Amino acid sequence: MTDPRIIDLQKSGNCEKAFNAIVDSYSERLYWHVRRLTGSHEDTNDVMQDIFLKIWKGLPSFRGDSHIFTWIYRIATNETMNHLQRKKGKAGLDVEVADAVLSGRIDDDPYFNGDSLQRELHKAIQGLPHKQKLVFNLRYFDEMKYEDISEITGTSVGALKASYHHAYNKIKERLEKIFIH
Amino acid sequence: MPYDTPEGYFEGMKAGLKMIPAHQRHKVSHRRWRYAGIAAAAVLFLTAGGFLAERLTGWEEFTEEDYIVFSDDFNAVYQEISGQYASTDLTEEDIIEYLIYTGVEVEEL
Repeated sequence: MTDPRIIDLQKSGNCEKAFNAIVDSYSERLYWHVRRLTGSHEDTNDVMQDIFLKIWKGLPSFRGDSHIFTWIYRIATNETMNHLQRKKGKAGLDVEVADAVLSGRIDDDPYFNGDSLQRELHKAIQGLPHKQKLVFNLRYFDEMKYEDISEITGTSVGALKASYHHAYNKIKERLEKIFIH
Repeated sequence: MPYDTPEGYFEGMKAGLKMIPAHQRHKVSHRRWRYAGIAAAAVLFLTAGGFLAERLTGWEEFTEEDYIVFSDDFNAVYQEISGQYASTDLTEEDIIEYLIYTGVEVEEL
């Protein structure tokens, strides 16, 4: 179902139908978005419940000031970031150690089926600071426009471009170290 | 993506997520019943508490005049009654007859 049709359903008070349409249209895309940020199927599964609960609770008051897909992605991103922060807090890890742990998760992930280049690429992405990882994922994998990423993250387009550039260089440098030298 | 998911995961996930509205409605209705129960219990408690408080504190509100009605001291009762009727046309005999009629033993008179 298209976004305008979902909004029509929501505006006519048919929130449950609108919600089911969101589940059909967005749940898989959001799963992969969250999975790239958490690096784990189990964490993603937990976060998905929270995301859709928030969407259901927020849907009646959605006013259409932003695109529905950026609203959905914003909820998904915030919930995932909160989840990662909570996990870090529970484990008592500082940011760098936690990123290293995320990076190493791919080696233990039974659901990872990529080749060695893909493995190193994803390990490099997991090693990025959260914000850079988010921008890189949305731009590189979801092929989103900077304007949409700006709506999702509440960051200016200029800052997003800088973040993407830093992320790109860090990944490139890491892959060159492994595969070229 | 170089990631897999467990077999049939997305179908199960979608079905599970679509249960959220029904689950939330059930939760809200369950919560409403719980609040209604708490409110009813509070009303019952206040009513019973008020009634009990009235019964307990009610004794203090009796005047000496009221107390005499509950007294075992029949002489006091008699004095009171005869005093009250002293200004009427009733004779002492009428009063005694009345007391016998109301169940007072002759020995007690």
